[in-house]
Amino acid sequence: MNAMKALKLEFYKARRKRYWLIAAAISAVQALWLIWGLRNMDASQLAQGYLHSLYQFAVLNSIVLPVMTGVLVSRMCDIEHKGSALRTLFTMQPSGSLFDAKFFCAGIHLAAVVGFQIATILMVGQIKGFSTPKPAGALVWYFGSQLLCSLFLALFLQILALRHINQFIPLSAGLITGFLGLMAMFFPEGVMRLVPSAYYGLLSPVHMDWNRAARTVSYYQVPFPIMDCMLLTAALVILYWFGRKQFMKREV
Amino acid sequence: MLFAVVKTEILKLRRAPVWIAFFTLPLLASVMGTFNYLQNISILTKEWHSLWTQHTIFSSFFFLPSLIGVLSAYQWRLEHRENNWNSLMTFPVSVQTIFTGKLIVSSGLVILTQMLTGLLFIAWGKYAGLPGTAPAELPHWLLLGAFAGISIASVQLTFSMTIKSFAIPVGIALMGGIIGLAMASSGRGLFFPYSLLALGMNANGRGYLTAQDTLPFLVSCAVFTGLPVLFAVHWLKKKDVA
Repeated sequence: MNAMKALKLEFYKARRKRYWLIAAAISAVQALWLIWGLRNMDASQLAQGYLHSLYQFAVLNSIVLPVMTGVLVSRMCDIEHKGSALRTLFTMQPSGSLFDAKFFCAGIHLAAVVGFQIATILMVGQIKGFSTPKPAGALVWYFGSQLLCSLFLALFLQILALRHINQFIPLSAGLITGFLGLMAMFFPEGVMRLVPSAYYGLLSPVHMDWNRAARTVSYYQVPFPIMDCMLLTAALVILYWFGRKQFMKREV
Repeated sequence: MLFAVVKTEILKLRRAPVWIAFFTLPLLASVMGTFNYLQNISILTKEWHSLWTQHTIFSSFFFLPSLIGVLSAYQWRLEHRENNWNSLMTFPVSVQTIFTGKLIVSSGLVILTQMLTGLLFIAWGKYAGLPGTAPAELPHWLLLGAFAGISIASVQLTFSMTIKSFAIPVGIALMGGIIGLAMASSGRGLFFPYSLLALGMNANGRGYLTAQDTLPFLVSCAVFTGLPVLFAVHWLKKKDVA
């Protein structure tokens, strides 16, 4: 079975499961959160509007996306457990192809979520009248970095969700990962590198500076963290190789 | 009969890893919260109160509600599987007892989590070298937090009973936590169950609740615990589970 056919099959299985609804609902809540946070802005804040929005979304992603990814991936894998379908599926489809199809299906949903965030930022910027030009480079970087981090989490949680019939495990792992990611943002970068969901903040194109004396917050763009990006990509490749191999070896 | 149902529910959970997650979360929250407090001790000047916010602010909005959501979903997952609904509804046990039994077990875990949160807070406070003893309000915060946690459990059990999917109610709890933060910040937290936990636990350290708010808070907890129970009992009586 070729990869495209396997992916189409995943979407066909999902047609009444409405995975997109979870992604849409979480995206809507995140968008409302951003709009609510931007309700009273003065001229200096409008000048930082795009950077503020990118930073806010990255922090929110570290809390929300691990859990949302857990919910999404758990639903995708649970349909096979519920119907005891793996045994039948493995007679018709290479197990590796099933693993890939589920991963790509989750990836497409996650790309849509991050894409929606960028659309929200652009739309809010237009409506609110952010006074600086659109930071096209930062937006592209944001999309790539947030998606990379989400893909790593999706892969990690998919391995757990396929391995364990009890979906309590991937969901709890998503929750705890989200919690660690948020808390790690208050720790030195060395600690952040150990927590997958902290990469939402580590790879974000925007960082924040809190001036305690003036009680003001300013946002600034940072150079592309090439080493962190390579580290996460390498971890993703290794985890993919390991997870796929384990799944293919599995006796059902 | 209720006691027997509660015992059965505990029996169903005995091999589940639920316990681990419930005790891991306060432990992680306390370790990381204390570390963050010690790193920022020059900004966080309110000693025990500052440490308390670091321990509770994130977990009470985002993670504990979601964890209660996972537990509730797990409790009903067993009934949604195979033909367990049919068996459950043919037992000589009233539907009120079935739902209340599950709620009591959830409540027990919430209370244990609150106790653990309190103990870890005192232990880490001593480790951090904070002067004096923990704030006298600590038992009050933990108790109100427990009431709020029970309300969330009641709401989540109802969602998990009516929604077959294991994961969707967890997503609802997560969204509830985010909206709950906005509601609490805008002063409308008493009208939203997912805000109650942070309100009751004084998670922002500045006192979401005044002394006059305690009674409305308890009324709110009672409403958000009672209404889902009433709905669930009605649903269980009317709905054809087959």
